[in-house]
Amino acid sequence: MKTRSLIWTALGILLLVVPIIRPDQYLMTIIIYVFVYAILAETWDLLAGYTGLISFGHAAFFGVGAYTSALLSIDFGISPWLGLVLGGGTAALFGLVVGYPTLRLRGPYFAIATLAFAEAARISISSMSDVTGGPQGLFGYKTFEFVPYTLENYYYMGMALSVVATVILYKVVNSKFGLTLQSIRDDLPLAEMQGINTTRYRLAAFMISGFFAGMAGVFFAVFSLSITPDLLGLSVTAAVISMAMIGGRRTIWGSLFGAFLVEIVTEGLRRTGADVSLMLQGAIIALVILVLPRGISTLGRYISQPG
Amino acid sequence: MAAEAALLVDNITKRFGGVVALEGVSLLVETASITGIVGPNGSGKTTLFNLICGIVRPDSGRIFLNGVDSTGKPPHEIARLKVGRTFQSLRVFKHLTVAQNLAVAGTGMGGDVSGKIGEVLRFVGLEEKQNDEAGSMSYGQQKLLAFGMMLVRDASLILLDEIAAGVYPDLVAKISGMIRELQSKGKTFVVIEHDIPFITNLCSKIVVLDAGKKIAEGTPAEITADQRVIQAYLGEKKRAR
Amino acid sequence: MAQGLISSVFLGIEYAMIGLGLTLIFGVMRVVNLAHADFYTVGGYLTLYFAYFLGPMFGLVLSIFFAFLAGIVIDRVGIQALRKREDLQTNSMVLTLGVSLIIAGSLFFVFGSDYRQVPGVFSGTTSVIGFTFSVQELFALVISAALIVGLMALLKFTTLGLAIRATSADSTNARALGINVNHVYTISFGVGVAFAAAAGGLFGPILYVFPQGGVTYLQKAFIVTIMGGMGSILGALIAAFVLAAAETFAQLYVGGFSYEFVGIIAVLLILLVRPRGFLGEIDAE
Repeated sequence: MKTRSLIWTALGILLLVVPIIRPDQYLMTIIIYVFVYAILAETWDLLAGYTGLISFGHAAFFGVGAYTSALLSIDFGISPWLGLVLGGGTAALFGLVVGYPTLRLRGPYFAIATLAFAEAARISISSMSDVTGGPQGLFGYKTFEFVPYTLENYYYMGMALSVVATVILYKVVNSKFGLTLQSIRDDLPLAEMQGINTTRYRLAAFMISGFFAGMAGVFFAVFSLSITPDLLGLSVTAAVISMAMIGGRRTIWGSLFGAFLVEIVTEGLRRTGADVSLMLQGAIIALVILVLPRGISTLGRYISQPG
Repeated sequence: MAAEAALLVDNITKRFGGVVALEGVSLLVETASITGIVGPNGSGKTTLFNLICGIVRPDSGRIFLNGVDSTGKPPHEIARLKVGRTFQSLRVFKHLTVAQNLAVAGTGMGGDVSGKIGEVLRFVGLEEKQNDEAGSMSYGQQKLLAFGMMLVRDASLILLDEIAAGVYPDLVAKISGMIRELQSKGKTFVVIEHDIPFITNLCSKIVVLDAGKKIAEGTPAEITADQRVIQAYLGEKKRAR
Repeated sequence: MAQGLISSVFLGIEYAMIGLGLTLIFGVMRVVNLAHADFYTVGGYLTLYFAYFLGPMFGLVLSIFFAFLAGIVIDRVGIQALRKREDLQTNSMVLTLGVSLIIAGSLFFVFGSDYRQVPGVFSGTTSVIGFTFSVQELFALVISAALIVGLMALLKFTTLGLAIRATSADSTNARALGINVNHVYTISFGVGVAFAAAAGGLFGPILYVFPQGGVTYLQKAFIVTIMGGMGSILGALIAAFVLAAAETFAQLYVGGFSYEFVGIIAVLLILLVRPRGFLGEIDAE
């Protein structure tokens, strides 16, 4: 336990000083993406790892958050600061709308339905060119007031957002509420027999997951200055799943680590000129599900308890 | 009359597709009694439990719990009417620890149960296992845990689906003892069991189901002497050998 | 109108080729193959590649064969291992998502991201009852129809087909009857993805292929499978033509992106109204 908190403190300090060392901009950008993806992987894991809801439509939360904030800024001049809450809130509502009808479905039917909802949202955004800019997407919306648009500022802001989301999600899964979610994952009818309204709990999980994933989308939209409907696509969901899987399901911290590993390695390789990021993400997903179904976190357990 | 019964099943019928699972079954269970339900496989015993718990809904007929009409309510609401149930295929939350299982059992009822968990752990004898993952324990220990979960929730009507099946004799005796002790404290039990000695020793009343119908009801002595029962159930057992 | 009907038939048979494979895999194995449409792309690219050396005809045959082999390997190395654990259905979705990325990534790495046209077996056009078709189009139509009829005959009349149908209906029982269920799974997966590859090789010359082009077809294959009743081959075949017609006429008479919504809305309605309401068995009737 002690070594673990030591590792996290060290990692935290390292991340804090990165901008001071002033590495190249590329590395900074990658780490900002890591902060964003870590939130996505954690929120996916809240559903998949803790609640037993394997969603293949996670990117929709991300995209809905991003589009909500960008549109509010363009059409009504609303600040992205408020957008963080409104984008998260809209994504949470989207979670409610998707969750309510799909929760009755089991296994692959649920997974396919979430994918279908995400695709429906993506196509809707693509097709409503007048409002959403269509396939070309949106740009020219506001950036965060009071925070000048510099890489350092956005680095710290992304880090803060990521830390806040991680800590809250960590508290959530380790609370009584989180324990109840896990009991539903283990055996839903048995949980019902205990007097637990499993529908309500799972909807709550959906909304919490959607809120933070949507918030991540808002930050991502502002940071990248333009967005396209691809944000809601299966490839984003795939990246998120690969990160959460390698980090290990049912480990909020693992997701953060998984996001680091996947993003750094794939981007690093892309930089050498060989774009093998897709192949690598795919290989990670396939290998982890086959060889390390509980992710890297199990490796850590082997190392700390040899034999 | 109905208000005093812990459970009243009134003329209930359930079909799955074209197959009749239960037909016109009625049952009255008095508070603080132990009722046994026997019958060959497929006679509708587990379906009856599923109906009482709200996992399936009846096609016709009504169910009352302590005088409250619970027909058609979802399982979690029925559970809050202090109904507890174990499953034939044993079920606990495998990836949670023993203590966590008990905590979850308390959650659904609301209120603070932390004090109760220790008490229940002692009662079922799993104190030393409280931080073990439930799935890692032996079959018998998991049965004790499933039993304990109903106690944490302070269930007053307890439905046991083959709790004594597949466990060693000492544990069967222990479970019988626990059931008797809890009955003396006012809890009501309905027990599905194939083990006839177990059930005749324990129950004050036995109900026999066959092919979805109630074919007999009475004291253990009456039932074991009943020709129809011997044919339908005991006879089948002999044939099976 | 007539033009619309003709387009529907061509689009429908293409959807059928992709959707049938996915249906076979789900119906028999209860595995949702997220890499399915990537085999369409693979079929296109392999045909393109082999055609350099061997000509388009052999290229097509060889690409179908390689897809079949790849399917066998994926099942043996990957899916069979997952079968030993809980929750095969979702785990297999995750695994095949990984396979999908590997395929798309490899094609991207080898061939680049450009749109490529696959060389057709035939070129030129011909005229039938007053309408002009490319010969490749007719060739693709005929071969696809033959393959589909062949698959249905295999399921209905052969011992292997019987084993596949038995496994689909009740794998435990099939095993008890002495059927090598694992074998059936492997063959089903191989045949399923080979159909997708055949579609890529046959229709790639008419359309285009690019590394991540599978996504659109994955959607279609899903829609066809779900509309067809999650496991019914005949259902999927009908669904493919219904979907194609609905899309074609939506595009003709409604316009915009409406055609993109037709299938997805149908799928959501079916999933939400009749979840698990269908018999997920392979049938050849």
